[in-house]
Amino acid sequence: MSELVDTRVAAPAVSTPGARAARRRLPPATLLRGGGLVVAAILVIITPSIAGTWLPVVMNLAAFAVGVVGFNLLYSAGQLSLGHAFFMGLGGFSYAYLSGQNSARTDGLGLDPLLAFVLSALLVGLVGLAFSPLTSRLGGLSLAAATLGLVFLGSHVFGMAERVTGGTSGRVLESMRFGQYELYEARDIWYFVAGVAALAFAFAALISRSRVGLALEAIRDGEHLARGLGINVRRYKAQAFFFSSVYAGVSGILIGLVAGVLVKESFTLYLTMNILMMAILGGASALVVGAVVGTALFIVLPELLRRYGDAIPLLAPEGSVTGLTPAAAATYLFGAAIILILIVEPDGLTALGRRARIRILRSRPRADQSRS
Amino acid sequence: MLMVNGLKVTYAGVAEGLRGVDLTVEEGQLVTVLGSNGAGKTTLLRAISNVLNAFNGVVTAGAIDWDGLNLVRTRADRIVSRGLIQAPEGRGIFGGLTVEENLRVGGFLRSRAEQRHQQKRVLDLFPDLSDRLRQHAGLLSGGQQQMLAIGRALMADPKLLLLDEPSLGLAPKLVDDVAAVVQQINQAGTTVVLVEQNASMALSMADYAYVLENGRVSLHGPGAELRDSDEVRRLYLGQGSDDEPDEDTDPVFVGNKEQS
Amino acid sequence: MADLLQLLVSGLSLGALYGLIALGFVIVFKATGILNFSHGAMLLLGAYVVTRLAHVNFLLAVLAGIAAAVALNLLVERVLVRSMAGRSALAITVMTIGLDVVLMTYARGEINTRVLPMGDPWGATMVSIGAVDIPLSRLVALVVSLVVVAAFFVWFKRSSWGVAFRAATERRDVAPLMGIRLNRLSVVAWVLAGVLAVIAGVFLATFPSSGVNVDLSHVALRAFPAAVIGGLDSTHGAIVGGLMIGTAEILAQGYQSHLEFLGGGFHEVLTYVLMVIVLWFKPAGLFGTQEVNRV
Repeated sequence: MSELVDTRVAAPAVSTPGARAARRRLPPATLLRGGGLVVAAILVIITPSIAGTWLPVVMNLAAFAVGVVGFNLLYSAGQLSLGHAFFMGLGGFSYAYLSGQNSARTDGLGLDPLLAFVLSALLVGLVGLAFSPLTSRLGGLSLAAATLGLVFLGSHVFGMAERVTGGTSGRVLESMRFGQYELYEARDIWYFVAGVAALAFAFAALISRSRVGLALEAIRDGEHLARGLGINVRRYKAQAFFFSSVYAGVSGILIGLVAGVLVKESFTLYLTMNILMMAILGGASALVVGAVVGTALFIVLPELLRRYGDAIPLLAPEGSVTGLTPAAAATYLFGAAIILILIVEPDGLTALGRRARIRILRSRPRADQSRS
Repeated sequence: MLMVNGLKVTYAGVAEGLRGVDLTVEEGQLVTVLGSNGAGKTTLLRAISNVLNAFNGVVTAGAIDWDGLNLVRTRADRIVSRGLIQAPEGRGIFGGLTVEENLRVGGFLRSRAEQRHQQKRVLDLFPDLSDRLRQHAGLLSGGQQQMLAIGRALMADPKLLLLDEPSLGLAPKLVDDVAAVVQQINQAGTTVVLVEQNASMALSMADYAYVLENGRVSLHGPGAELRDSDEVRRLYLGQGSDDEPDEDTDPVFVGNKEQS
Repeated sequence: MADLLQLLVSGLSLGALYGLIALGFVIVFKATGILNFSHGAMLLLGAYVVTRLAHVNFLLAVLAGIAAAVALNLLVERVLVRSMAGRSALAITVMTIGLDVVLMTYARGEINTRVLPMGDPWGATMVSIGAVDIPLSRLVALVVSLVVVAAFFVWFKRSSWGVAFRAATERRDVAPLMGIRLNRLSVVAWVLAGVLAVIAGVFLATFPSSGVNVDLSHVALRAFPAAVIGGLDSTHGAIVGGLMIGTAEILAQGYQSHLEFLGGGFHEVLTYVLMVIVLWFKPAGLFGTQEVNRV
């Protein structure tokens, strides 16, 4: 418990921009957050009725956002992990194997899908923990190097384990089942995905407010400093990596459930890069909101370009060999946005929003606002 | 001539490093700046060399002028090329480089011919170093490292040399050696600003002396005069008439400012 | 025996190229403290320029490719990296990932699925040394990279800028007092990295690839572990690391039939296996002096 006290005492003294912002937005945010949760709950319930052809897009959004939250858990502590694609694939294929049936091409244990879901998430966490002697010792950039290796090793292992991954043609996933009730329709899958995502978000918010969150914030501000405060840096880094991998694993399973099929080629370095872009776009320091905002942008914009690209003069039709395809245009935009965001506002789009809100709040004179 | 006027420096926008320092160094003089840890001595030298930004420091008020050059607005490398050289706090030796390479870095902005000429001069001054040119500087003793730090500064053929606590961590015998070398450099025509905690050593040879307290000049005057002043004797030379140094003597110092 | 010898020569040749690329990672890291993830894209674009001009004159084309990569790297350093001065190394590193995305999207648009011939004068010529037959291109690659590495180290050890570079990476706080401009060093590092990348790229596109395609940047990324294995702040470590993984990769490929239990194409991930093993036991790499975690 002494660690908790230590970091609490030290936080105002260090007074990082993040900490200051957190203090600044506390009073009005509680109300906002309560209202936001209600609105979010209503949105989740009515989504299947209003989303129409966008429902698969929104489902993907929720599934990916869980993985991005996992990325943010580490990144907001100053740790860059590029191994996300590996852990997502591991989660997805574990679920496929544990819940799947034996067939001509694939093996499976035929477990209850819900049990398989939980077991796969745990398995991914355990693998994450198994690497902790490596990950907890390495700081920011060498962690990036080591985890980059994991992605390539992962691709190789997925390629070797053809009876699990289904080889190049991929593997169809068992639907989620509650007793006899099979989640087969898009609406049902949406409720499951949204429910799991909501739980994951809530838990992430809890983590960031807990002792672990405080310790990670201190570690980001400087490992030596954190160590000086009596924080067991290696233990908290290992914990963060554990949670991060579980989130990645769950995200992988959700993505599989949404698509109905998983292909090993999806889990390459590109996936890691995409997750990273979603995280930076939204802003990793806003753990959940940043993840949702970034993921939404990343997934919705290419879809918009694909659907309404005809209206934009420069774009070539999707799938054409020459010219600027919608996908390439979106990638350009995102890459450039990442660069711009990192130069202008390292905390991403949500921080821009927060800044605007603070400016508005400041224009109204308030005693506790003027302090900062 | 170096002139510092009303210089204020803050670190990271909050901590005050200097709170208004005035200081003048005439050409050819040996001027010492005394003060305890945290008084602002190193900050003053960083400001003169214009390297504060690397330490998150910034000049918020005042001016530094050296022979008509506004040092606050002059890039660090231009200051060096004009001949204002600093041997930093804690020696700042490049331990992974050889002694000779350290000297070369010191003469980085000088031509090959000038480097050769200066290196000869440095090795004449520090014969100890000439046997160790190919040795890694990190393997030198503390005294030798200090000699190397001064020698490295001399490689740029300074007109004005800033020395930051060259006696730090040295045995008394070596402190005398350093003092002799500093005097020799000064007598050869180089203006020297010597920042020191070792007041007896510094005052024994300084033409003029300043005492920094809490980012301000609390006392200044000719070296000999300060050596005889009661306050300096009591606080810095350890030969006070009162029983022991007292932390709460600040008001007395400010009051004495007019004395010199 | 002849097989082994042949594999070793090929391995060293590939390893020397990896070494050049790794050296580019290392010098940028030493000068700025960041990992440059756009290095592979830069290599690819430089090599692409070479293929476009090779029909005029191969040597001129190579020079043009180098010039292009250097110009691009200069732009990146002066505009992007400098505007992030004072930010964490992590943030700048992630910025280079964004840059890589942009550059690779451009490269993919230009090259598509084509494989562009390098147009090198060595072609498929074989050279026999004793009982060993070796493609001339591999021999030239080996010789050229060794010459380039030697030139680099002469510069690094003897020239004033080389000495200043080493001094500044050791004591960033002291170097400015000697009149060294850290910004200049950063420029020098990015320029050198560009030169090294394109030289390596030209040869990598003749072997193991048979021309320039977008996957060339992945081949370049396989050199990244070389820098990590050697220690990200060690220049000679980069060369040793490069030779190690190049040789290991070619040997694993040559004796693939004995390694079937590890899966097909194992040699392509072997470098990452080696990297993880080295990091596990030596977090700073074989010759690194610090953990790669600058504050």
